[in-house]
Amino acid sequence: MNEKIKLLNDVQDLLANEFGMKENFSCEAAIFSAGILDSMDVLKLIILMEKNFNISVPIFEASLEMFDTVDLIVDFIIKKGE
Amino acid sequence: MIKVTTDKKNSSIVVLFTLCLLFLLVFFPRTSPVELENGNNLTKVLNPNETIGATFLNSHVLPKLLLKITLKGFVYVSVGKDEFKLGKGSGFCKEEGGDLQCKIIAKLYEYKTPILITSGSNGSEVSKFDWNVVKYKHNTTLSKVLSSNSTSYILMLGLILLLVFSFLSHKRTSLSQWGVICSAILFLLYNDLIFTLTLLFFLYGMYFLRSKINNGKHTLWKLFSFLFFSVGFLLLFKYGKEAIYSIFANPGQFNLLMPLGVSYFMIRLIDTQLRWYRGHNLDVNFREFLLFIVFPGTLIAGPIENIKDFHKNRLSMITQSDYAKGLSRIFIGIFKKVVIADSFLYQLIASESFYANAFGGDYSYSLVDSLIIDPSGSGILPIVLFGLFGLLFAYVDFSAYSDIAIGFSRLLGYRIRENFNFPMLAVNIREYWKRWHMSLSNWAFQNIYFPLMVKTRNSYIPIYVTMLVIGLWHAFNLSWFSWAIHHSTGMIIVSILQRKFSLSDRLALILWPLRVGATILFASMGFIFVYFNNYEIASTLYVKYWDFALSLPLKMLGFI
Repeated sequence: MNEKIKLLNDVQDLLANEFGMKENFSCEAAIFSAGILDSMDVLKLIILMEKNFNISVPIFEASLEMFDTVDLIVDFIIKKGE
Repeated sequence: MIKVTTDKKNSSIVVLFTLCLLFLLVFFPRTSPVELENGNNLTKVLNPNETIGATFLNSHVLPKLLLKITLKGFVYVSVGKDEFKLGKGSGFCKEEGGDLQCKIIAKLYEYKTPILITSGSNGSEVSKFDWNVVKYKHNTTLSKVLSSNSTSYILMLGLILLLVFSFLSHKRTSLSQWGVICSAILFLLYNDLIFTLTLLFFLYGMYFLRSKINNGKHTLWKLFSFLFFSVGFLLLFKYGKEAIYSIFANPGQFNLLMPLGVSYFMIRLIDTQLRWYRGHNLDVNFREFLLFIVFPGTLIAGPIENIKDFHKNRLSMITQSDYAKGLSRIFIGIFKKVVIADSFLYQLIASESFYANAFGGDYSYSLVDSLIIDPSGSGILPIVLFGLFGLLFAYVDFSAYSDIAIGFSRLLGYRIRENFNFPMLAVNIREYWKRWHMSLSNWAFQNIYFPLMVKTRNSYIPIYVTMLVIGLWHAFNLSWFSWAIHHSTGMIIVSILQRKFSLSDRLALILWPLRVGATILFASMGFIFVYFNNYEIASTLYVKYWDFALSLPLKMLGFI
């Protein structure tokens, strides 16, 4: 569980530092479907996720819906990190 | 700052694939939707009052033909019920080198339409007769159903019975859903027995194998074979139906038209397969899966839901307020279609009197006909107006259909996603595509754009591919190819500009009307490709439009 909380914080930091989003952005709030980030930002997000969390995002296994909240992003990282 | 670098190898593969597609499109063998029987009879020196004739054979819905006739003297031409007087002083003809060059536009209403040329009382000569098809629609099962009064009534009665059944049984989910599925399948079976049985068998197979798709080794290959079979099934029934049915002794006894809603079945199926691959919605039962694919409210042309939201947004009970909302939505849709689209906007394009009043002339041609007759000589204003009216017509027409579909689904107890969000208010073409046919653009974004972007590590190449797939899904021809290039290039330019410049709130407010106007004009340019089935006319008009748009600022600067 601790690991998840750490990841949540890391992802929140990443969103704040790299995309200028609010610090400690709510874990359940929509990011892409609410228009806070744009479909053009998602590629940068994917590359950052791969680099910072040492995972790879394979074709077809991800969708924008799966990155729509901080919670979902962390779930994806955990699943891919296993 | 992180730098995004494109994966060159994968990108090249995608670009190469697109170029092959273009090559295929240019050389794709195409059969004309109309044929002329005994066309050689039509060029001749005619005695006074002599009549010559030939027959147009047509296999599509209301094809529009451009006839070019070179003649001396004075003749009457009749195509089906339409009659034209051609001679000196008629609005259809121009004098060139002693001959009259006449152009008329005729629609074919029947399978066989005779064309007759009768000479005036002084004799005449027809030295050249040329024709081509400028616009047609494919015959579909739906157009066949709606063209017969008795089947329309049975369909209406069936829909009302379905509503009553749904209303009474909605709380008992399983019973209600099976009932709705049965009604949809009965309708499909009535239209096309073989297709429906194959579809059911195919869907059951796909459902049965769903857990294999993200299990074990080589899952990507399994996914590809799922997708391959789904797309293959679509292409087979969309384009190869006659060939399939010819294994029967007498294929003519079956309905050889394109099966109803087949494109949309596959769109929904592919979305579901990709969700299964990602490990979502694997616990859905066959009833829920089948209902999602053949749901009567969205069966013909969407909106395209996804299996998760479709079941999540099922109403727990159908209340009075749902009926009020659903029915009013249906009435809004019918009003938009009948009053605004068909009786007003369509008339702007297709009525001779509007064109005569707006641009002068003698009631010979409508706005669209004037462009067909002389694409390279037409003024810029008719082209711009045609694009605008046409785009508005397409918007009102399709959004009216979506209103009816959403309203009807509500009566059946399902809240379906919206398809349009005032696209005419978009401030750029990227936003336009988030507002126009949203359910399809969202589908394409999730299932085509996103995976390709992951693979190529590039944000722009996938835009081209996505729009090409959407375009060629409509119809496999050069017009839709050009349409796709037009829109994707626009979107890429907008996103590059958005990265370089950001507008302050005040400036954005001041520029708002300008940006909205420019977006509508840009989208309407693309509509030119959608409307004409004749690539030569469409591309001539399109180039003229750009020529004007690009030279306008230069001219204005010149004046200053």
